[in-house]
Parts: sequence; C-alpha cells; structure tokens
Amino acid sequence: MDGRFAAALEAIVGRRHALTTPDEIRAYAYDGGVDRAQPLGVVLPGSTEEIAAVVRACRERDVRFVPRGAGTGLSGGAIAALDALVISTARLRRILEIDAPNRIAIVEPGVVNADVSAAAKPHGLRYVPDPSSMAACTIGGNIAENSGGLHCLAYGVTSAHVLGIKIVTPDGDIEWLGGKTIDAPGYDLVGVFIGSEGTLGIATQAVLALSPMPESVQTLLGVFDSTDDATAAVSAIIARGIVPGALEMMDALATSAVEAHVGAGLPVDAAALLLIDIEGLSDGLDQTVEAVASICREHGAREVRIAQEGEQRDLIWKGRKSAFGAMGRISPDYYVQDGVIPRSQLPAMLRDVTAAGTKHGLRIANVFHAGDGNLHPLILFDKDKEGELDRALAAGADILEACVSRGGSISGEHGIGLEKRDCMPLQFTPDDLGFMERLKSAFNPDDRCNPGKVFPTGRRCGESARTAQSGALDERTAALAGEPF
Amino acid sequence: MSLRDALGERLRVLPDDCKRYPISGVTPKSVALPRDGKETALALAAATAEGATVVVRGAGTKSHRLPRPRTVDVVLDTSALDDVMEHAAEDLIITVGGGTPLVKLESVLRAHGQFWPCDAPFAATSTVGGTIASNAHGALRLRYGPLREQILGAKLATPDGVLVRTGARVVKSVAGYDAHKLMAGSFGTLGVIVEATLRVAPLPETENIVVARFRSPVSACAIARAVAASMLFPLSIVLVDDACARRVGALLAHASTGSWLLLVRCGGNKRSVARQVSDLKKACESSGADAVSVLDHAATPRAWSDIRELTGGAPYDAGRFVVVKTTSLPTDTPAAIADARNRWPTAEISAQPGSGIVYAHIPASDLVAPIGTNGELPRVENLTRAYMRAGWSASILSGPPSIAAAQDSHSNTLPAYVTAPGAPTRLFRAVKAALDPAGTLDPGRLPGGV
Repeated sequence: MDGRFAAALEAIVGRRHALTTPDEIRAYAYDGGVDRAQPLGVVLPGSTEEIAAVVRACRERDVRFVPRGAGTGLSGGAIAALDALVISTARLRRILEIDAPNRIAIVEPGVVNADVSAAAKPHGLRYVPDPSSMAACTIGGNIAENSGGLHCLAYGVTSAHVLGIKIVTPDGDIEWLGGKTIDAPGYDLVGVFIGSEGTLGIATQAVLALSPMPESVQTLLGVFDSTDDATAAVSAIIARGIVPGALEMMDALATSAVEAHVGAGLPVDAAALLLIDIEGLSDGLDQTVEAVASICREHGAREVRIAQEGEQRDLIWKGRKSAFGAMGRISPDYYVQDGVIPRSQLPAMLRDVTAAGTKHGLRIANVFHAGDGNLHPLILFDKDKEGELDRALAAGADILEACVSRGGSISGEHGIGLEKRDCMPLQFTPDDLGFMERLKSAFNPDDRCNPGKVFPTGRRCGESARTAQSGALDERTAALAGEPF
Repeated sequence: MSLRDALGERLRVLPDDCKRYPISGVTPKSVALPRDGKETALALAAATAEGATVVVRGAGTKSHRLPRPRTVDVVLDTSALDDVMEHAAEDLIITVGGGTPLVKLESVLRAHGQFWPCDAPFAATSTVGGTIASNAHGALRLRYGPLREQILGAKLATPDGVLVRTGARVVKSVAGYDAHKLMAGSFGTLGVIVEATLRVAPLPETENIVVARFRSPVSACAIARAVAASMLFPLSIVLVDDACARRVGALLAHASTGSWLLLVRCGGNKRSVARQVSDLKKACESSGADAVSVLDHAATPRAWSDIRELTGGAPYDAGRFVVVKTTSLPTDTPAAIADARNRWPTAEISAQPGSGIVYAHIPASDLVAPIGTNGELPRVENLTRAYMRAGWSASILSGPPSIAAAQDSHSNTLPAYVTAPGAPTRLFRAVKAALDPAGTLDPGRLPGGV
C-alpha cells in the first residue's frame, strides 16, 4: 500500500485499526467459501463517519474496497478480489436500542445475529432470521447476503425483517434507506439493498423488526426408509396447509456424520430424517403436531418421535446445526453447494444429486431446508488426491444446472459472490444481467465497492471457484475447523 | 418502430377513448392496450424512441395518487396481461400477468385453500401489478410482512423495450439483485410488471374477528400494540372511529357515537382461534373496552372484505373526500390520530395501530371551500412542518380534481406527500436515471421530482 494512503487511513481510523502487514491481514484473505485473496490492507473503522471518510479516501485515490462482517460467508462475498481494501465492521457492534413497544431493534452491523434475539428475549420478542452460523455471523453480513435460516420457511428471510438501513454509499455519502416507520413515499431501496452482497454500499446501522416469541414449540423427528417417501411427506405437509416453523431433511450419510460428531441419538440406519418444528399457541398445537405425524406415517415413516421443549429437542437441533462441521468425521474435505428447486421437484432433484456424485465418483451428503426446497449437497472429496477438487467443483456445477433446469435458483442463501458469478448465465439472460448492472450503476457506478462480485466474467460455471490460488481449500478447511455452521 | 406500428388498433387516440383514462385529472393523448409482454415492450421502446411519456395503469383505482402530471402522452393499460401462467399449489407459488385482477387471483387460490397474503383495498377491480406498484399492502402486513416480500420474482418490460426477469419461481433465491422488490411502491416509474411470481399462503382453518369498543383511541392503541407484540400473533389489527365503522355492514350494530372499534382478525385452527379470542376479550375488557363481541367464521369473510377497503380510502368517493395516510411509530399512532382529529375535525379516521398507519378521510368541502376565496388551506398549511418534525410520513391517497389543481398552484397547501426527513432523494434520482434514462415512465411525480 502506498505510504500516503496508509497514513490517510491511519489518520481516519487510528493506527491500531489500520492493518497493513502480511501477518495482520492474513486472516482476512478468506471467508467460509472456496476463494481466497490477500487484501491491500484492512481498516476497522469505529463509526459511520469513519467508514464514510475511508470510502471518500478510497474514491480520491481510486482504490477499491470490500465491506466485511464476520467472514462466515460461503461464496467469497467478503474476499478482497482485485487488490481491494477490506473495510471491516467488526468494531461497530453496539445494540443501540431495543424498542419493545414498537417491536424494533436498532443495531450496528457488527452485532452478532444471535445477540439480537438474546437482547430482545426479556421482552418476549426475537429476531427471526437464524442462519446456522448465527452464533458468529453479523447483521451487516446478513443484510448483504439476505440470510435465511431454519425459520425462514414460516417467517421469511432477512429482507422481511429489516425496516431501515443506514448506509455509506460507494461515493462516501451517508444515507438512510427506509427507517423506523414504514411506507415512506418514494422508492423502497431497502428490499434491493438487502441481498446485494455488499456491492451497493456499506450498511452501518439497521432497524430490525422484532417478532413475538411463540408460546410453545414441539419438534417431530420423522424416520424414513426412503428419501422419496420423506420428500413426498414434505410436499404433503405443505399441501395440507401446514407451514411449520422449520422443516429440515438429512440423508443417511449426513446422519451418520452427525452421530459420529455429536451423538444426538438419531437413527443411523434410516435413509432420511425429517426434522420439523411446529410452533405457536399451545392451544391447538397438539392437533397440528398430530396432523404432521400422520402425514409422515401415511408417507411411509417407520417411526415418528415427538420432542417437547427441552433437552431432547435441543439435541436434535444441535445435530442439524452441526451437520456441516460433522463432515470432517467422514471425509477429509467437503464442498457445500446451495441451490433451490420447487419443493415438488425434491424427489427428482435428489436423484440428480446422486447422479452428479456417481458421474464424478464422489459421495454427496444431503442436509437441507426441505420446506423451502433449498438444497445443501455436501460434496465429499480429498484434496490430496489428484483431481478430486476439480471433480467436486464439476459436480457442484452439475447440481446447479439441474436446479435451474428444474425451475429453481443457483443460490438460496449463500449468495453469488466470486464462487458463482460465472453460473449467473445459467439462470439469467444477458438482458436480465444488463438490467441488474444498470441498477448497480445507480449506487456504484465505478465498481469500486466490492468489485468483481455477482456478475459473470465469461468463464464457465464451476471454473471461477478455481481462479482462487491453489490451496484455497486448505485455508478454507482450516478456517472452518470448529466453526458452528 | 412507431407506437402505431407496435400496437396497430390497440393504440387508441380518439378523445372519447382517452377521456376514460384520466391521470390525476389529466386526459392522455393516447391509450396503449398491449396484449402481452412482448407488445408491452414494443410499445415502451416506441414511446421512448418518440420521446413520449407513459403512465402505466392497471384498473386505474390509484392512478390519481401522485401529483398532477404536466402531460401524459400515453396511458399503458395492462388489463390484457391477465393470464395465470402457473399455479404450483404444492409449492405455494403462483405466477400471473401484471394486469390480473385481484378477484381472479383470489378465486384461483381459494379453490386450493390458499390466498395471497395482501388484503389490498379496491379488491373488486384492482390488478396485481397496480397493487404492487402502489404498495397497497393492506392490514395483513402485520402478520405476513411487507408487500415486497410477497413477490418472489417478476418479468418486467423496461423503458427501452426489453423483457427482463428478476428473482425466481421458488420461495427462496438470492441470485442477483431483487429488482422485483423495487417495484413495490414505484408507481410504474421504473418498468412495467408484465408477470409477477407471488408467494401464497394456506388459508387459516378458522377465522374470527374480535370487535372491542373503546371510548378513547389511546387505550385501544395500547391494547393493539400489546397484542401485536404477543404470542397471540393475530392476522391483522384495525382501529376505526364510529363514522368509519358505519361504512361496514357487519359493524353497524357495534358502532356508537364518539366511540372507537378495535378489530382484531384471528386465524388458525379452532382451538388456537378460541384461545386468541378468549385472551383478546379479557385483555380488552380489563383495559376499558365497554363492549366486546366476536364475528364468527361465517361472518368474518364478508366483514373483512368491507374492512379491507378502509385501508386505502376505497369506500370514500374521491369527488367528495380527501384521504390522507400518515405513518409513524406505533407508539405515535395516538398522537397521529389526535393530530388528524384536531386538524380536520370532520374527518372519519381509521388506523392500523400495530403498524403505525392512520387514514383520515376528510370531507373535501371542508378543505376545498377556502381555495375559491383566498387560495389558502388554513387547516393544512403547517402539516409538512409538523410532520417532518415528528419524523412522520404522509401522502394523499385520493381527492377531488380541485385538490390536484391546488397542488399545482399553491406550494403551501396540502402536499401530495411528506417524506420523513432525510429521504435519499439523490439515490431515488440515480435509480430512476439508471433504469429509465430517457424519463419515459411518468417522470417527475415521485418525491424529489423523480
């Protein structure tokens, strides 16, 4: 980094919060995904104004920059491609206000997701979006990725729970999109900023909508001898007019890994498990639970366990949430894919996943948000074996193609970032992408803010992940060790 | 290609035809009636090439909501874009043309025990595209969230005549920008909604409405806030004064002069609804309600179809009433109601107290009369300043042409809208310039002259 620029940054954020040496910035070279790139430097501003000043300093010197939260993303969104400066929101971690009568929380972007619900709990409220990384990921990153989670089936993803966002624009201006009140005249820019993967500006404060906690929750565990039966039960539950709080599925390979990892007492000989949360008022809940249980039995479940709140239920969900990390028990490495299909296509899609594994000679475990049709195939490989990484990436690309051909999407919650930018043409025409680029230019005309993300570069889908330096997977595996995904 | 070449006989220019499509009192020079998305795109490309301005119109129920345009070259009527492309019932998704009437959408869904969780007003004639473009979310917002979240994807015709898709036909997708969400509240100024893919929900097994009568809106609002934050999780909450209540047949028996009715719509299975109703009754009675009754499952649909119309001023003849919508924090709703009552003593008032929305339906004669004498509207002249200070937003939803005319000529009269302080108008302009660089789609009528 040029010395005068470094001095300018230090003058804004303080010497302690401007990192430039290779040792200091090494940890910022990767996120939870497959890509890796060394940033130009890292700054950790302490306020919205400091972020704006850093962004203006970047503009003056035509330096690109990348906003970064906790770095738990899975698609390279927080990676500093193209020699960019990382602007970390890690120091902006105050919950500024819990306004219970108005059911809102005002928070800084570095606040950890789970801490919002913890702060709201004494008021009988919660912040609904609950990505599996909720103990580590932060609100700013959640806004960038439009994060989902187990409970977005019933209550919607991040964008359904954000009323306003204070942003620093790519030009260094400070603006409020939306606010504490709803329906302000003019364009609703909140919905389009959320999920823009840090390419439209940096969120520096957010007004979050809080929701009432349910009075009661019961968890069902449906045990199936066939994945087709389990997926058919998923469709039948929704078709019966029941929208569970969460509706998750794990296949045999995933279950065996989870059992080896946490010993949640799940049946390892089952072909598929459904994990279903039914929540609401305690009155009438038993009937819904019983209806779901009978649907499972009608669709061939050999056993349906019902867990009340407490240890048994916690254990089941602990098993689900630890599934990614548990893969280490059954494979040296894994590559997590993220695609969406209409629920009704689940049985056929799971066969497509199996076929992709067979074609490339790799095992694939499935653990996913069945209620949303949001798949997370975990492609198992060994990076030390010649060509296995390439085959894993190729299998991932095949799965995405199958998702699109079945009417779905190439990402349900992990985002496009660097990893999938060259898969965008699978789902969108050049006209569609041109329209999105024009929208981007309204905020970020010089592509200085999170450059090189989301939009295709002309390579093949599945190739771009390989543009990262070799050894990216080493870093990733190291980064993921012990991560609560 | 000219507009005439693009549309042939589906471009109407006869004055009698054009008169049927007024936009805030302005008669357009022509009316375009495209049959499908492709023709919509062709028409837009032709208009842009000719430098013509286009106002998009569904059923026209909210076409007067923005200030009077300087000129309207073309009204683009979307009513022929009314196909149901795909209803994937088991996926809780439906894709329909932008001109599809809400009644058609609702009847298709009802046959499968489903509904689109947006109880927009003007339900008898409004289109899906118009409902989205005007962000007419209705009171179900409390339970189901903003209208933009009920849209999963769209096919849009851009001003340069290209058909683009955003989002997906699945319940969850984060691929690319969610430009379809930007359509909510954009009044057709960024693109034409040719198709929309909507998130639908199962109809609750049972529905009841709890009707609680209060002497003061303050205690009714307090109960509303408490209920909205409670595990009872009602579908929607509406508060009406006695004059509003008398416009709903099912509430006639409950209204009494000077009182307010709190309406809480509950849904779920029978036992859950019974519990909600019982808890609500207790809560209202212990907070000063002087009467509480319940509309049962049989009575609810009819009653709610009337109540939903109150959310957008639909039952109020635009020739005789000015409808002003205010949004504030829910804790400010009592103050917003008091302000409206004080400012316009003859107004009929309804509210969504769990969401901070207040509607004042003001007899136009009480507002318009002074214009003829000295051009002043004394009761409203400080509205902008007062609302800005409180951080509230306001907009006029409807009113007689004389109000629109007054907006043209009197800068200190009732404004078309008051945005909260610090609205990002620079970004509004940048978005408009990026997506409609030629200014084809109804320029200049949104805040900031966008």
